[in-house]
Amino acid sequence: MPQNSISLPFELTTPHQRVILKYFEKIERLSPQEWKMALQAFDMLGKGMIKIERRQMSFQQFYDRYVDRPYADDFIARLMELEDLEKAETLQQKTAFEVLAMLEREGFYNENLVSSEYLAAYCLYWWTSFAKGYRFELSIFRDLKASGIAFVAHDLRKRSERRSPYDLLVLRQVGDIKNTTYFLYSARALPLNRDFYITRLYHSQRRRYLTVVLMTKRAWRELNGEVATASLEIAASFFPQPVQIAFEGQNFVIAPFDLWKEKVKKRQQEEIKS
Amino acid sequence: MNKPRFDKAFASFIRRGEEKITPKTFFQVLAEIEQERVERTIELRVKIIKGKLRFEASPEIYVHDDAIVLGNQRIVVTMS
Repeated sequence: MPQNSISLPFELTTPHQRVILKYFEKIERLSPQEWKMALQAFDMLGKGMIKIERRQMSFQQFYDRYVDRPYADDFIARLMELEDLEKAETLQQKTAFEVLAMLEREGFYNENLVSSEYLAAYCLYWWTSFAKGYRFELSIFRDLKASGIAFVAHDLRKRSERRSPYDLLVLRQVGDIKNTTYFLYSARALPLNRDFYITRLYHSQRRRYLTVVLMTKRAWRELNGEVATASLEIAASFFPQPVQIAFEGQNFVIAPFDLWKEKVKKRQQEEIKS
Repeated sequence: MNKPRFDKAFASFIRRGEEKITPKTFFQVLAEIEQERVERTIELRVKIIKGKLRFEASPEIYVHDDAIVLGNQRIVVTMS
């Protein structure tokens, strides 16, 4: 019987491999440099190759075929049935364990398949990112609806729409909703070309997550927002007040979600009146 | 491979719940990314077709015909 084999991308160094393990073991202890390296490592892993019998595919193709296609639609359907999204964490964890068990059962993660721990790491990283991302996205859609904000969103149930160029449209501005890790991954790997991004940060003093909106300066100006400017090094000291930062050669404003909603609602009401 | 160690790490990761990324870490990671970006060189290939400049598609940056899209800016390259 032909054996499966794995080859890791040559640029994935030993420090990258170490930081992948640390990401799973002690994510809260990653330094900013290690965070950057971990995001880089998961990006590189997508180019890893697995040979299954005579067929060869990248980790990215493997994930799409063995994880995304069999698990994603069902997860989204069950997520959308939940009235209380707090219960979604259990569903996310249960599915993640099922993915891990499937990898072991099908012989894609075991001691005889060299480097298969990195294939499993890649699948778990992306599955978790997917599941957390859509849990967060659904909670935002429900919040916007409850707040009376007019918006157009893609249909999460349809795979093709999940891959649409943007997640939602508010006041003719296009936006994405991303959990924090995926936002950072995107900031590193892709150009930030939406008008706004909804994400969230953990407020240590208040011991809770605060949803924030990172938007272009133009998008913020359209909402008549005021802002102070800061470098990335000191921007955190302004939080949760709106602050303008420079990134990727353009100016972005990061502001609390509640303040953004307030301004969007006001602008939408003004447009209805005029 | 130290499978028991990875098994344990994966299980604890799955059960851990949400990552607690503070504003300080968030902006520090963006600063690290910005630093890396400055250090990174993106190579673009270009062809002249019927006297017009055409960029070849790149996985690293969005290009269309004779333009490079960078954030909300479009950089159009023409021949003098």
